[in-house]
Amino acid sequence: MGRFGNLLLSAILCGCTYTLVAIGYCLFFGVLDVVVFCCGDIAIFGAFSIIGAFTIIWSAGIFQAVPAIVAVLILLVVASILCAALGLITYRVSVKPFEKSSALMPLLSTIALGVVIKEVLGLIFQPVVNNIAKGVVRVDDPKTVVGGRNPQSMPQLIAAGGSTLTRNLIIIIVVALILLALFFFLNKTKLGLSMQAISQNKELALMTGVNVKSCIRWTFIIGGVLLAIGGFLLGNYQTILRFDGGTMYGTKGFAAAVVGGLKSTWGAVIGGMLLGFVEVFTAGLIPGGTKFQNVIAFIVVIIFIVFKPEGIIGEKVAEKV
Amino acid sequence: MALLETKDISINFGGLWAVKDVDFTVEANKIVGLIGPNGSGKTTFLNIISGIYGSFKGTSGEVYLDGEQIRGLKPYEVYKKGMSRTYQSSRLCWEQSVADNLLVGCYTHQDYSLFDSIFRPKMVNNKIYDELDRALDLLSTFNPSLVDRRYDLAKNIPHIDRRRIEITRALLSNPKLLLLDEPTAGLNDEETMTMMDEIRMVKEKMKGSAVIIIEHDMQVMEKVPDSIVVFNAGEKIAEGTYQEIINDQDVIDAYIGGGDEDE
Repeated sequence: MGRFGNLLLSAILCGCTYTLVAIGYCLFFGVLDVVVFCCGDIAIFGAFSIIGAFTIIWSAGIFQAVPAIVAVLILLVVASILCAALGLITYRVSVKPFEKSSALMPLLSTIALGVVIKEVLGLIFQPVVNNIAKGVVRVDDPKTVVGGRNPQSMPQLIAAGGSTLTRNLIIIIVVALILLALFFFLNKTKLGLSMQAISQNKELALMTGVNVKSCIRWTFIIGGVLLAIGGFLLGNYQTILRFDGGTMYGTKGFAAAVVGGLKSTWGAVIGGMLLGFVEVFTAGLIPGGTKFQNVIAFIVVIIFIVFKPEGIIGEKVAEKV
Repeated sequence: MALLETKDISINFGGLWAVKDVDFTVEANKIVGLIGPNGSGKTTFLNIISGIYGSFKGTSGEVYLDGEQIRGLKPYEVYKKGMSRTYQSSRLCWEQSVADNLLVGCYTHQDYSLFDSIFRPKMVNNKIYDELDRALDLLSTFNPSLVDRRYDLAKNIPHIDRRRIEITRALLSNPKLLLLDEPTAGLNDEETMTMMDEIRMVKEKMKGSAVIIIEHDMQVMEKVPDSIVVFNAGEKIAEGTYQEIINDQDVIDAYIGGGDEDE
């Protein structure tokens, strides 16, 4: 694969990771009209919970006895359950108490919860994982994650011993499958249709027999699972994970969601990909571009906000923001 | 037995009584009008009986629908007990078609599993098509041309037709009690007259059911309801026929404001 091909693949991978967190923002904003700003932190929590589960289960010798795909599924299930629980906690602690308040209250509250999540992650993982320097975990270095005999890192595991290219293709396929499943869920199932009804008109949903509270709870559960998968993919795409990485990851996910259209799932996909492409191509094509790839990416975001505030395929939400 | 009966219904927001000790009765096959000055508690009253305030602590009293206590239930539970409503302003999904807006009211009482969602057996699709046919059939009684516009986006539909879509959607659940909150708001005189006829037609279609209608337009109040209840400052101050109400001194003082009986 040539240089351009590599850049293209990296851009898609980067876009995939932003897409999932952007969809999290879209789902939460859709049913509540508030920005749940700790999405990035929930995703990073998912990534670290996978590292923790990986370490524990590897130490117990279970992973050595099962095929790689089973190991990956076990990790995903663990992370999904934990992130779904964290999603529910986010709703109960940081969103529900402010249902009648200004949208600024849950925004501030979820920012605060994000700080709590990253600090707790730091406290838990500092003593567990070896060789952590300044809060950084090298996910691709087996010794830092599991140690022991025949250590295997997450990226090695997900590719089942295959190449980096295989691993990357798996990530893209996983995201594509998730998007298909999400599209199907939102458009074909009763719960998905109810969530769309709430998103478009809450009073309408209330008086057409939709159990709004239950739908909101399910949205946080489903959003939590998506963010867990996002964290898992981020951990595999990046070679390092930071405890405080959720802030930047979440900000980029939010930016992607806004650029795409805050209530549009497909807008989140487009926004996420756009951000991924701008970032990767800035870093790859401009000499020294890695130093200011974020600057360029956010300048693009600002340009979009100025000229198309409702998002690429979104509805106008300026009054709500 | 009354279809709807409320006893001492009250709601207090931080010391302010929005509705206070209201006893209200609606018999089957009747249309009851609800009038009162702005802020008199009409919509709040509808919100209480339709479950919008659910288990809000400031609410007290009892609400019986067909003999069953429903106060404290959530809106979707009240809906399942047989109460539907429309709002003052249109509650449509603007970017969805007329048909989709009608079907929102159908999905919730359809009983199909995740398996059915995934594989969509013919039986499930048939159920949805049957619901759509029923919805369009009902809609055509208001305005037959709307059936041809069923795939038009709701935002492109005239205001009176939006009202018709909302009422049709509310009727699709075969409610025992239909609450109409200012159904003629935003309509011109001619459209208001048409809507009045249609509300009477709705009543004829809903055998054994009843309608509560909030309106400011006294033309509507004269011609549509069988009886009228008047609210002022959260309290019920009068109840009776149109003629009784417009001659009631309390109503004149509170609502009409100086005896302009034609207003």
